[in-house]
Amino acid sequence: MEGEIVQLNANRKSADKEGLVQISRRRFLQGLGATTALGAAACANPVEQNILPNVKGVAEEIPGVAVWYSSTCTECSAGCGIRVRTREGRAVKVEGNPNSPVNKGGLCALGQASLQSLYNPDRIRQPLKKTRTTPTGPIFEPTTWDEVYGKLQEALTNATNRKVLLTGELPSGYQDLAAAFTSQLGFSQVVWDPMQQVAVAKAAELVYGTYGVPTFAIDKAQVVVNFGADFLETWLNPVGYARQWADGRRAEKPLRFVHIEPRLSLTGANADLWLKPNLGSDVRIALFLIGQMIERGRTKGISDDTRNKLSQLTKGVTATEVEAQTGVSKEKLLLVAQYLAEAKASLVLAGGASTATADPLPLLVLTNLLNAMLGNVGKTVDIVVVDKPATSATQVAALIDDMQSGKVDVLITAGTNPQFSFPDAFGFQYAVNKVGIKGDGTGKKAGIVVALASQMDETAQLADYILPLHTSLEDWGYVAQPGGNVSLMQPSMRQIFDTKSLGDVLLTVAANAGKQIGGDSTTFDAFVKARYLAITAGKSTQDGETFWRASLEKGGYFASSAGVSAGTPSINPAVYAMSYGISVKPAHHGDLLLYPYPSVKAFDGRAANRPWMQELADPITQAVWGAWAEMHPDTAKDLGIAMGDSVIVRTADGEVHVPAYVTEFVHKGIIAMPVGQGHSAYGRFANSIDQGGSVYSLLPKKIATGADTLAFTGSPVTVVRGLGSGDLVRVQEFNSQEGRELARTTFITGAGAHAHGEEHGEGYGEGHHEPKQMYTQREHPLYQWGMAVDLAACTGCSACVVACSAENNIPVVGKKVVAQGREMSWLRIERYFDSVETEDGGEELKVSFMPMMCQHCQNAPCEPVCPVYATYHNEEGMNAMVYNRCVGTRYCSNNCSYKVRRFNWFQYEWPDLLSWQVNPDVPVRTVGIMEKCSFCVQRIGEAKDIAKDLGRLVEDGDVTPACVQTCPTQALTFGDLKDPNSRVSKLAKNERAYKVLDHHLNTQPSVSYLSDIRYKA
Amino acid sequence: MVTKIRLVIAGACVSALALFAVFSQWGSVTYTATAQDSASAYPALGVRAGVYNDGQAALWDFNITDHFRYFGPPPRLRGYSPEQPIKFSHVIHVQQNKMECQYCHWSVSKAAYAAIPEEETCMGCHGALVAGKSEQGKKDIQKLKDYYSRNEPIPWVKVHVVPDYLKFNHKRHVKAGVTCQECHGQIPEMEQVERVSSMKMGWCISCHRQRGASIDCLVCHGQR
Repeated sequence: MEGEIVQLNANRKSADKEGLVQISRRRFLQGLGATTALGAAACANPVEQNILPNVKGVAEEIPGVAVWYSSTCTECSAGCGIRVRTREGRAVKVEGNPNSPVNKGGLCALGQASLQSLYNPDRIRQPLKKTRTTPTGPIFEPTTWDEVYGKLQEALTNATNRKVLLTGELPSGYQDLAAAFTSQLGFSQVVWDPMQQVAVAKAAELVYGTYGVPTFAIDKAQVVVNFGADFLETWLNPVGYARQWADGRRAEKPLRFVHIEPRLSLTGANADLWLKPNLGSDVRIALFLIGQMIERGRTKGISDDTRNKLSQLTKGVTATEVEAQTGVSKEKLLLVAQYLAEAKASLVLAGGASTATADPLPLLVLTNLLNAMLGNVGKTVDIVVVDKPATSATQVAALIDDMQSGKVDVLITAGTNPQFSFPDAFGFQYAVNKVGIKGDGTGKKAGIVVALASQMDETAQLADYILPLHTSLEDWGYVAQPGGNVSLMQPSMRQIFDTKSLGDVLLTVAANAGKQIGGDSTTFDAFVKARYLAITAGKSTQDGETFWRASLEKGGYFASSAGVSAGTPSINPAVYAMSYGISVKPAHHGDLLLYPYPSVKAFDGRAANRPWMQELADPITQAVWGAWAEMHPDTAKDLGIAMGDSVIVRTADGEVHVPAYVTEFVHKGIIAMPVGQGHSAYGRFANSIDQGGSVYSLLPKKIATGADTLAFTGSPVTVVRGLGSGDLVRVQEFNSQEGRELARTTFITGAGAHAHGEEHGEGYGEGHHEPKQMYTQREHPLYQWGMAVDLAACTGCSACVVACSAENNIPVVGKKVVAQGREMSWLRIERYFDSVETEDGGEELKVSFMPMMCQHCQNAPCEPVCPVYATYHNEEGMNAMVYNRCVGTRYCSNNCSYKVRRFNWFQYEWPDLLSWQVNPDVPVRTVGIMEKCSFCVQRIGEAKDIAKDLGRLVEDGDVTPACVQTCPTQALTFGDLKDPNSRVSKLAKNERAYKVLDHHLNTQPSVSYLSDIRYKA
Repeated sequence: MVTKIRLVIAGACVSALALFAVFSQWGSVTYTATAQDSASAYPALGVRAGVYNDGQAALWDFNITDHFRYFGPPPRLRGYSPEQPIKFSHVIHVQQNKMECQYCHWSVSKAAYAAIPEEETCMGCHGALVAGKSEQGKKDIQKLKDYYSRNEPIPWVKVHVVPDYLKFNHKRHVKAGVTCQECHGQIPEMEQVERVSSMKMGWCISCHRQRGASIDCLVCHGQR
């Protein structure tokens, strides 16, 4: 071989000498290209492309220019304002509406993915009729609207028993109409939404005097003590509360955050101190804190009488006793008491999985009492502006009983999926099949079950008829929020299929029955407009039509934020008689207890049919596609289970087969499982994964004591090893940074030291690393784009990851391909579990989340290794990637120090309809091409285009990449590093700023990270 | 010995190529998943991304695949002059009737696209007033009316095709004072539109160099 090379070289030399072959590399490649082209021309006819014009022009549309519509997100009940970007009549991106006081421009991952509800390939496309039921599922055939309306009218006329409208927590527009519908047509409405915090509302009634979930002002608190409420993930208003939390963390004196939960949730991971009590024993901690507050004289908010009664309750609750009951060391308990006692304003929260027990009220009541006695009501807790959930587990259970005994003749379902999310133990399916069956023994069916749904799901499958609905992006509506704001919904594009608005369906059904439920309005859009103008009457001096137009543009009516309203708690005497014992007790010694929790990936199961949400890595476990069971290493060892093994989790009510996720960050006594996976009829993306069953099937037939909700947490489970490996796919399989200082933390020591005045400690000296350069340092004539990531504000919520996928046409590759390490996401959230030393020499867990995207290095390792110059450094400081030049050697990815480059191993394709979501401003990459974060170069291009039209340069704030735009906490900032006054320049010079790996590798990234801020426990 | 190894290598190459041909069907390497493997069924299901031409306003088609699939970009040769579904004559409209380019191609100074005019624009004159003089003209105007009444877009054939991995912004060029004719030629004199420029990268760059415009790759590539 060696000889050959020498010979080749020799030949070339001689040829050069003789002047025979003088061909440059470039010419050679051109020649090669020409040869190929000739060959190609012989093989295939060139394609003729058509260019199709609009038949009619659209007034406000210029081809190629995006039109934005303001609307409201209806994925959860928070009611975030959204702006939908449309191109040539198609919605291509959903973003947060900065006008909305709820989310202030941010949007969570699920809100971003609402586009995949609109374009879901498994949407119901026309009215359906069930023809027969087979062992593999029911068979539906297309039918007409009129037929279904006729059948429904017939059933309504003949109905002698209950007529029920079973819904989710509907947006106000639908709900107002549904209320009129139920009252005029003799229906009863039953509401089921497992995400609703019904127990919180009930406990508020007991202590504050008003039924309803209070509004919280997290940013106004100096200390937040949280019993399990996942307010950074799914709880109440995750985007709004995340923003408040981040504002509090960024304040002069950052808020201190203590999280108490048996499992480390994403919210807990962001806490300064995480306490891991035994499941159900957190009520004792709350009681202990009350005793401590009385002892320390922090009872200003309550009367002497109340205080005396409370001190009776806390008599004998000592730190030692509570330590024994909860497993949390008394030093820590006293520390928490000290934090609370010393804070001027504080906030105690409880909710989420911790309060989904069979007896949730004691803990919630105690936390409310803590807020009351600490004087937080009116400061950080607003008990006047409250949200009243209509969800009622009792009513659903009663409905099931009625259906079973043949007392229901008509059932209409809309916007809820109880067949999936109401525990199987209640027997919903069995009951629905008995709707309208005559009790005369003939088994003849006189009644009807109609599902109004946009997606096929388990509940819709049970119906006799399915009427297809618009998704929220195609429909009108409004969401009246507590506090007087009204957020409007408007269609951002024309309906795709033969669907109708839920409002119009209700109006038509009522009209057929001879009732006029919409007032003067006969269509839902007219109803929305009339109602909106009625609700906001007197709020504006503009005339109706002008105000309506202005409101549609703005997104609704948003009054200026009034702050926290003052309110006086009126404590119900029943509170003193309540038992504050440990709420969850295992049936047998050594029982493991089930701890189901809603995750950012699936919520209660509603997000499971969105491929973006499935492929999103869970921030804590880093797992994609499907469910898992979290267990402590000791538990796993006892059971002989290793990470990733298939396990069978069994309760008295059912069993599921899932992979095991072994982690020391759950309590030894629990098995924690995310709910929402294991669908059987929710479209291809939800069904395909995890056929092992749904967590809801494990839950007991038990309604919580005193609160109208279900007991989710605390069923005894047995876990056994299943067969083989459990198909657990994680995108990050390691936990520690191993001291590499990737995600750094600035610790605040002492009681109230000021974070921003902190000197960088050991190891942070190179935060401002001086660039070294063998060649001339790069010059940037006009702009130098850069980003700053504030780790103190990043919660790890992963909204940016989905926003990036949506903006940049990043393909979803599926579980198998991710397992091969071939995921395509340009942006990932790295998470690290590190132990840090506490002040008293102990060890404490520090969890870091770190958004990692292309760092656009000024001295990029990827650039010099590209043989075809497909990646290079441009004059605006960006590490450019030219797709059509790339030949796929993958050298760049190999040489990238941050592992942010992604290679298209396959030709990924979008199933029909999902292809409609593709952003026309970004090319879709093909197989064999390398890709990576481009700083949303198309948005930079657009900003430059607009600036040129205005005859100026791009100014700070003109360019907002998708990730920056959606970040609920504004942890990301983008701008021009060349402009010393831009926000990003200032942040890059912040004393917390550093660049990842720069001090080792001199890569000179354009992305600065600002170290996290933590209190040293 | 060396020859033997070479033969073996050559044999391996041939069989590898054959296998590749069988499994990959040459150009289109598509990831296929089985129904059982439905978690990863995502890429295999449905239609190719970017099938946008089924709708009304399908001005986008951005399939880089197509070009590779057919071994190269669509007709990018000077003189390409496909027959159009309607024999629209720029000579009559521009040269004889002195219509401005931007009367019909109105978005050229407003957006990246110099969109083909809406049929409504054509119908503005041809709807009631202009019925055509020649036999051919009458026939084609009737065709237009038929398309319009069927609410159907006219399937014009694209003459000036640029690959979809680049962005060409008409607005910027028009505002920078580049005339239509510089790239599209003497359209007013064309009975059937013909491509007069190669519209290859070298052609773009030479003009950018002459005028001192940026020749950074990202100005055109990486976005659409």
